[in-house]
Amino acid sequence: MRNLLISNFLFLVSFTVTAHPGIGIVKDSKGNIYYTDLAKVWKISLDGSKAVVVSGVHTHELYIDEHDNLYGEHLWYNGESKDTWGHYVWCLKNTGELVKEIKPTESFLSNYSFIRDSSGNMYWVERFTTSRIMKKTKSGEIIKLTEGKFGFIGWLACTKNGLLYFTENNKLHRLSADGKSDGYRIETLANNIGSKSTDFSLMGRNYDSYGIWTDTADNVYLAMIDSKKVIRIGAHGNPQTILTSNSMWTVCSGIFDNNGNMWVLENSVSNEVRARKITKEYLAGNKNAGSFTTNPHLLTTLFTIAGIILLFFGAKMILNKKRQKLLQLAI
Amino acid sequence: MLYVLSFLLSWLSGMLVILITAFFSYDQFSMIDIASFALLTFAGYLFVFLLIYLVALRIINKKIMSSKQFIYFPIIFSLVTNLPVYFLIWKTIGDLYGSSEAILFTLGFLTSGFVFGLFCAWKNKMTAKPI
Repeated sequence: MRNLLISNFLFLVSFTVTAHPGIGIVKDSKGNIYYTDLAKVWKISLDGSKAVVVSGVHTHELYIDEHDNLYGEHLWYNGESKDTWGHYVWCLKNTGELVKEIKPTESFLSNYSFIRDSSGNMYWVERFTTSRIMKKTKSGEIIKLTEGKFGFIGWLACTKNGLLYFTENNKLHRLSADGKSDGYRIETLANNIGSKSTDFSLMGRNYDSYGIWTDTADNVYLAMIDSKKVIRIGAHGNPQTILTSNSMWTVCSGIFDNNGNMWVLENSVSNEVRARKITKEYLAGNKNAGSFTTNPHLLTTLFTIAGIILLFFGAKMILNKKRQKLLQLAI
Repeated sequence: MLYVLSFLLSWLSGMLVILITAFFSYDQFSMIDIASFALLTFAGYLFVFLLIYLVALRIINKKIMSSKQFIYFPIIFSLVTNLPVYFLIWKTIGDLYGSSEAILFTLGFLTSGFVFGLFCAWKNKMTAKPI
């Protein structure tokens, strides 16, 4: 009810409700970048040209295998009368052929994921009172890696060698094989990654982090969707802000290209999506890459002060006129 | 005209306090936050202004002498006439917003009432019949 009220209210107030931004941004072996805008999948070639490669697909995630086959889903709602969802999984082959990997099916995707390691194992989260992180091997065997009464678990990320990263409220965890048996262990890498935002921004959620990605040095990067920034979690678990978006855009996910540049997937207040390249020089210098950053908070405060001053002098003028009239009448 | 000006002036003062306090309270205060606070305080304050402030002003204008208005008006409008608002703010914590937002709303209405009280006292002083 609370979410509903706040969501409806915000829709009326600002028309800036972001439904559920995607995190799908991947690169192929040549270094081309692919990303989803929740309606189409775009390709940014090495020369910077941009083209739609798959259209008419509502996919939040993407996966690309070692042969440059691109995978995604298409999710749709069947209307209020049926109140059901449907999906299919598509694959854009490296030959350019688009095929359906999973045929149109009612309900959400289950026992399948676009979070995969280089061996083709899939990983996903089952969010219940007791949440589970699951793995499906290439042979089809489904294994429960861990379970527990977690807080809200956000998006899952997987490195090529099968290290899993996920956020639980404002904590960042790593799930990895313990090396002794078939078991897995959870390490908490950072405890306080959240930033303080209002309930209006968070829309009832108590977390801020969104997409997760890593670099070649195994630093973990997190898109902080409400505070509109990217933080890097280094070896000691200290979050460091390395990038901020401007007021109209927020970072949802990211990836590093073959040259060490970071590409961030950004969502605008009007639900537009773009991929922005942050050069490695910027990252090395820790410079604020959002050169067009504006601060609506500061601007609004200044306008408010200006408004108060204007109203005060306006009122003073009217009262002075009234006083003069009264004095003239008295004389 | 003066009532419209006093309404806008006191509402904007409340908004200013919210905006300034938010600088120290939050890491991020986006347009969504600003729009949410602005709309909720504007609508709430308009309601209170028309239903409570103007009625209360008619009563206390007659009862409080002009020399004491600069002390009593801000106190009455910020604390007494705003009581239903404070009650509503604290009653809806958890349903519409959290406690930190409730504190901001309270501060905003407290300031608006205080400024309106001062404005009324000032207006009465300026428009008092010369002896």
